[in-house]
Amino acid sequence: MLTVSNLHKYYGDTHVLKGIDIEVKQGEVLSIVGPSGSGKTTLLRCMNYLEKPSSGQLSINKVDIDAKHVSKKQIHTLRQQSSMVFQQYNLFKNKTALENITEGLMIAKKMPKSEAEEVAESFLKQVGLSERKQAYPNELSGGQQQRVGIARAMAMNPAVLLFDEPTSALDPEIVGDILAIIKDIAKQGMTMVIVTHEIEFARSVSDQVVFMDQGEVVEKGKPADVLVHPSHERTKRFLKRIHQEPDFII
Amino acid sequence: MAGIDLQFALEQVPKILQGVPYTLLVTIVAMIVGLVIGTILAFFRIYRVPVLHQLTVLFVSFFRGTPLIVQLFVFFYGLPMLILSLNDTFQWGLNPDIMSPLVIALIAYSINSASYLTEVVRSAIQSVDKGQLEAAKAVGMTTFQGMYRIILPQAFVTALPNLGNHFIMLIKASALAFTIGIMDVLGISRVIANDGYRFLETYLVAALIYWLLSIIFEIILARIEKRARTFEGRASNTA
Ligand SMILES: Nc1ncnc2c1ncn2[C@@H]1O[C@H](COP(=O)(O)OP(=O)(O)OP(=O)(O)O)[C@@H](O)[C@H]1O
Ligand SMILES: [Mg+2]
Repeated sequence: MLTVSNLHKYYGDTHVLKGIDIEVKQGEVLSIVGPSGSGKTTLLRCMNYLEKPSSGQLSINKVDIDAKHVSKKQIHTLRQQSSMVFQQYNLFKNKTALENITEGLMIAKKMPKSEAEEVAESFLKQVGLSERKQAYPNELSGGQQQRVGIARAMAMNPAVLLFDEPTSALDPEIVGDILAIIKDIAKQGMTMVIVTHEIEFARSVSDQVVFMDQGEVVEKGKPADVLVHPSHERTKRFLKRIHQEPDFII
Repeated sequence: MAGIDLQFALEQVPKILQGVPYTLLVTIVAMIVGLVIGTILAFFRIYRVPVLHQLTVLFVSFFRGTPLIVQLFVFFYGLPMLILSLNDTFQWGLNPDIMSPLVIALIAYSINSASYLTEVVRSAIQSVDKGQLEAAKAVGMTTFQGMYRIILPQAFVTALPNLGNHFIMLIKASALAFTIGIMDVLGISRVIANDGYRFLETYLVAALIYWLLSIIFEIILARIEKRARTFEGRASNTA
């Protein structure tokens, strides 16, 4: 479903991703954990080509790309295979909750308005936000905005959903709700890649966990192995530090 | 106010009002054309398009750094000459008379206006959060679609106060067009004043008309701004 092979990313002279290899099968949930600055966001953004990889191969849903020679059209096709849920929600500020979802459907997918609205409403319902469909992002709480963000991503009917720390900008008491929604989507068989600091969540939702540090995949495998009985020293240290931190630190 | 002939002043009002359409024509055309050109030039600068980017910097610097009245004269004498030389070079049969004073004024004010609006639009676009365009791309829109549907509408709202100021400034700046023979509010006033030797009365009426125009448009612009800002949150129903 999704394959990343030998992916490198440089910002100027800084080597941020040092040959990443990842494979996610249809219907699988992959969680990426790791310390701050390890390159998790960069990797996720490379998958959606919001960031251009310096070299390496990407394949999502049979769309194959080699970063060394890639056309605009290929990027566009690749992007349509996945959909991103952002840490800061990134809802269109000049559009209502409903329009945030219909926008991509109508403009990128050329869906007629009435049909797009029907789709949008059904996804808003799924995230429990039907009554607020006419609200602008500024009129919604963080949790509500992220629900719209998730509905918007799902409505695009992507092969893979990408989440970049979807709950880290939220108040602690809302985090659980959003995680529950994501878990729900996972149960429906959606293929997902989730960058998260919520270790417990990662353990329960994932089929596969990747631990990254300093631009490398240090360890990957089943959540019970990587997160409970890690074999690498760096993973152990990371988990120990995370467990010492109280949950409510933002 | 013994020296002022109120009767005379009142009689001139309808005559001077006949200049208002020209004042507004120059102002509105300069605003719209200036905004369109300014937006295009702003993109040259934001995306640092080779050559065009540098030319834009030069253009902005020149038109902001020279007096408007001098620019008017340069266009007034230069544009008909330009047509003649184009005719010569390309064997075209353009009539230099299409460059009437009004057309020249519209061109000069539009270009001058564009030089100011380039910077206004550029900073407004750059003030829109980068995540907005990324989200547009993430739902499959092209950069152009994202710009057109998401970024520009937001940038426009950010720019509105500056655009409003610019519009009011244009109303007043349009008065200089009398120098090339436009019969706008000031143009007509000058003719009347010279005929009747009633300078003070005539120019006072002209001043009041400009003032009134400014007030009317300030009210209209405030309404537009309020409507455009609805998405920034309607008070009181925030969750
Ligand atoms: N636009 C950029 N220009 C230069 N360096 C960047 C840029 N974006 C990220 N980096 C660098 O790349 C490295 C990886 O950043 P990244 O955001 O991917 O880390 P992360 O694992 O997501 O961290 P966090 O957990 O804090 O979100 C960091 O050292 C960061 O400073
Ligand atoms: Mg990150």
